[in-house]
Amino acid sequence: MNKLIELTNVSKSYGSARGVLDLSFQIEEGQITGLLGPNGCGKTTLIKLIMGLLQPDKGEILLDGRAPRESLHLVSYLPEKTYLWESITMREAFEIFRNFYPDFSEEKARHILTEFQIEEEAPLRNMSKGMQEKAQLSLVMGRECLLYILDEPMGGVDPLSRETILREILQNYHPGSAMLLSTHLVSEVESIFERVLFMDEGRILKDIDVEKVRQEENMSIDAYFRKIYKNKEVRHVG
Amino acid sequence: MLAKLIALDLRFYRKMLWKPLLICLMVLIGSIAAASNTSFPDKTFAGLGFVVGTLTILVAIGFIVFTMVAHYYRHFYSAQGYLTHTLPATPSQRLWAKLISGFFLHLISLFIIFFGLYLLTRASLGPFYSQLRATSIVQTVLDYLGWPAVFLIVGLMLFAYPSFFAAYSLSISLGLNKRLQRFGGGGIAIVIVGQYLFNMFINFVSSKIPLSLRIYLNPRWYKMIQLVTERPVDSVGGMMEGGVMIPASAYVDIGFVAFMFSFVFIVISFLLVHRELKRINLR
Repeated sequence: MNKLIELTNVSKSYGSARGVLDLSFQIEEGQITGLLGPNGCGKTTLIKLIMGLLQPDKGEILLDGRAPRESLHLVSYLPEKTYLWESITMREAFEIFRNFYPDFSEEKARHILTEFQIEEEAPLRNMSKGMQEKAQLSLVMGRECLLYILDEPMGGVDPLSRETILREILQNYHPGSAMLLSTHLVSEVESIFERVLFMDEGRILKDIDVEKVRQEENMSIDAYFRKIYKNKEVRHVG
Repeated sequence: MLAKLIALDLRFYRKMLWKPLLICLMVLIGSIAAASNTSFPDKTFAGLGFVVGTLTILVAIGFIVFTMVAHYYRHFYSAQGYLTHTLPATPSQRLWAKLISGFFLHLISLFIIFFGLYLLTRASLGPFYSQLRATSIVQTVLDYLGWPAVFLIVGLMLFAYPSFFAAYSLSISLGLNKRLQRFGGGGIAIVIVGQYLFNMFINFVSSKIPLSLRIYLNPRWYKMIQLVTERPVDSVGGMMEGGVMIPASAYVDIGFVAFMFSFVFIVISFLLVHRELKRINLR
């Protein structure tokens, strides 16, 4: 299996504040990995490091064997923030993505947008926070690339919309690609994961095979999540 | 990829600028119409038109400069940076795109200044403009300066852009780097003050060193530009000789060290900004 993400002893701090500490793990192609943990545990920092938006204080990050900056074309990234500007319409956003990403399928993105019931001509400023997230997701999932990195794709949406988002992610996720999805809403998304990395205080608490946990522990990932954070049985694998 | 990034920047500029510039254009047209109105018994109305028109040009330039700087900040350091820095382009392509796309705005600014002022002046001069043309005063000035001097002035106006770009890109990129971003906007202010003090220091040193670039206002007097081993004069020199005024030999001196530093600063700024973009830290 090809290693799409490879972290070796990666640490990042913000002055005196903690970011992530000595993380090491790999993500292979074809794997849907969940990055779970409470707010502020370092999920977003980790994703920003992988995307090259933050620089590690120490350690090495490789995307498909190369530095993140050299492999950006392989990754479709959904940040936790709205990176589109207020006046842009989705038609314009499609045009920008079509220009920059040869793997962007406007047809696919338009289909997702229709599923989300968002008008192509409406400027972003007329959309609610949840609609903006969905609009961005249509761009991200409109690509057919090796790696999808989604940071809290359901952070600001209602429970009903979460289902729609999850369905669209699964339907439009390119088979054979890998996905790293961070969330603190474990119960809503656990069904799609094959592997889960539990994070806390900048470290990886657990790196588990979902099927194994379901069989051996006989519990859902959500229940397992609650159990390990309650007991804080720290076994750093990073 | 560079062309695509430039197109993306120009798209932003167009969106941000078309409304304010359209309003400025309408006000300018109104001002020109007012400035050319000679039906009033006194010239108050025409004078007001000229003042409003000139202010409108300044406002338009202000909008353009603001757009250029704000776009640089937003595109690289606000939430939009999450898109900009994850596009499949290199940091140098991103920087070159900003430099080149901003140059288009600089050209538009120059066009607005010269064409706007020309129209305003022409309108406010009224019939006197025809007299000026008849006496070929513009031609006289051009003959005095000569085309090389005109090219020199145009060159200096174009050179102003990379110099300005170097100043603001360095202020923002260095002011928001890993070390200074803890101060927020204060980091940018620190770099601006630092640049200002360093420039003052360079100008002071340059004024003490006997090496100047002498630019003759009349290029046919000896040479247009000459390197002389004298300290730069404070004002226009060479006007008087033996108590007789000789305007044809007038020159201005630029401290050679300060002049060379302005070139070096552009290169250093570009390299530093490039380094900052390579190791971006978006909080």
